Amino acid sequence: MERLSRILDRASAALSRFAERLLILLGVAMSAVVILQVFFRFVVYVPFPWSEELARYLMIWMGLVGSFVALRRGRHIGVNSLVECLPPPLRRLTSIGLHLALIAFLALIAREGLNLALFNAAQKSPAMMIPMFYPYLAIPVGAALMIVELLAGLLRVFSPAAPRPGEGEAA
Amino acid sequence: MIPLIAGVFLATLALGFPVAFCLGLSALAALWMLDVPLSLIAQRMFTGIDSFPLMAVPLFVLAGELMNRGGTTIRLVGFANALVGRIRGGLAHTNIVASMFLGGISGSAVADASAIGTVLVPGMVRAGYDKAFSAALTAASSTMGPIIPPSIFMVIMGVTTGLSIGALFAAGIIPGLLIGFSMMGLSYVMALRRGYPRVEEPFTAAFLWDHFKKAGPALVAPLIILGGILGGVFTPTEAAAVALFYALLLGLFVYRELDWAGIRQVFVDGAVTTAVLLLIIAMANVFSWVLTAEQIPNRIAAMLLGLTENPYLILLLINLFLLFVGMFLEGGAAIIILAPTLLAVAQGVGIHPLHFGFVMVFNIVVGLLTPPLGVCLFVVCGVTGLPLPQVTRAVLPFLALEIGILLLVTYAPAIVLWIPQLLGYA
Repeated sequence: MERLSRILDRASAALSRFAERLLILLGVAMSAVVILQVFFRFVVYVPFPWSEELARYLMIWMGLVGSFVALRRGRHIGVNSLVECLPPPLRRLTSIGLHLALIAFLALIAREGLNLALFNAAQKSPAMMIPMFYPYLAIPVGAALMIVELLAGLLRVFSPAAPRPGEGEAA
Repeated sequence: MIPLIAGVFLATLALGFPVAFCLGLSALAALWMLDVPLSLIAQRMFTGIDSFPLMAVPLFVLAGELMNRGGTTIRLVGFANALVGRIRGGLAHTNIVASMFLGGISGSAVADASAIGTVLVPGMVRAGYDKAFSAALTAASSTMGPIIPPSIFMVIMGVTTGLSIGALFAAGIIPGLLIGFSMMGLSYVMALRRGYPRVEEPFTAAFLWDHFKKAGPALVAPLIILGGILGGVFTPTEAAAVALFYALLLGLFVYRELDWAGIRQVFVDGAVTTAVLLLIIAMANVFSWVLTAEQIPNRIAAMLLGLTENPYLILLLINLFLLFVGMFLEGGAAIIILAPTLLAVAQGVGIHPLHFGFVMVFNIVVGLLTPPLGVCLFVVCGVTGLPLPQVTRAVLPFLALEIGILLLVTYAPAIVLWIPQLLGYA
């Protein structure tokens, strides 16, 4: 159990480092595309036909991958004041239930998201003509990343000695 | 079905689930009962965030973070202090005026609360201000962020209902200033009663000019954003991208406080902040499908109109309902789920759609200050380490003030509509 917990923790940490790099890339690309769109319209007088579409898909990826990093940092907003009033054993029980429920829900989202991506794999996006598989893929990938972090978090509940990294924000 | 959805939502919320998942799980429960293919969840999540106008949200978030890390906040606070620091309770006024400036750059109350909270609250406490007062004032003044344009909530309102985002921005100018000035009045009275200090150095024009010069380049940002959108040059999303570009230039070449490590940090933090909102928006889009399938919006509308068709009473009922909802639901989600229905009700009794859209945004913003889900209170609790109940008590006078202004903008539409009408929006 201890070992599994450590392995999952490391996996989640490594994935999160990779995800952070990806977020920088996505954010820079998305911003650059919209800035270039403005530049081309006003300065070069040639509008891009595909800039809005590309930027939108980059934002969707940013939302799903970012949700994973936000989960690791404890940044998703929720009401903690009630749970904090519970006695520690009940609090742990609640935390276990929360992790299990979210894992099940995200597993469902990952499955349905992957089906959606595969089902639309042949369909091409209107402007860039890329397979819709790639934009839709953000959903299963984001959900799977969150599941890894939740599994690591679940095992952390059982070994309270290890404080989780990046936690402690109030919101 | 309503008891099931509400039950799952409130139970998961009370157990500490993130709001996005409370929405998702309660929608899932209903979808099971309805026997709808669950692929709908992934589909609605995707379409909920597949929107170019919505991209103004991440771009404004990133622009705000770049400004903040690039040294803008400190200079705006310095200029605000040079302007109003000599009034009794000087740092409180500085806090408010700095929030007004920041409100014109960022569209997020949370970002403003953490920026001002980090920079100003420690100094306020050292100068003898009550810590809970300082925290509460910071939370309250940060609510100008999404009232004074630009505004993330207004972007979401525009995307959801089709109201013009530019018109909503224009509508926020006067009410935003109204909040700022009335909050200064309230702080002045409180400072007199509590004996809070003021800056004692004599006022000189040279001192003010010096701080103005430092803050000037940052103060150009709101002009670019607002001027560009209201002048019809940019869409709000493009304006946000231009603001981001300007913030980058400012941080790199004018204030020179941005380096590559800082920029990386901005893009990670900005993406995380954005993702929290996008996940809520995606889940709210699933949730709203369920409500529509069950015709719950129609029933709410029929119920409201069954009670009265008097527009003044309808506005009162909707405001009370939204203040209650704002205690439990994140603002963006509340807009996505409720705005289309409530807007239809309001229009049905002859209320101007832009006026109603703004009133709803204002109301949602008040919800940032009401527990148990009071997001701005969470931020200042995090910054100061104070417990939520203590900050909540200290925020009550400001909350009362904001509810007063909410009533004012509700029943005096001219305050809201005057500038949009001047610009030809309404």
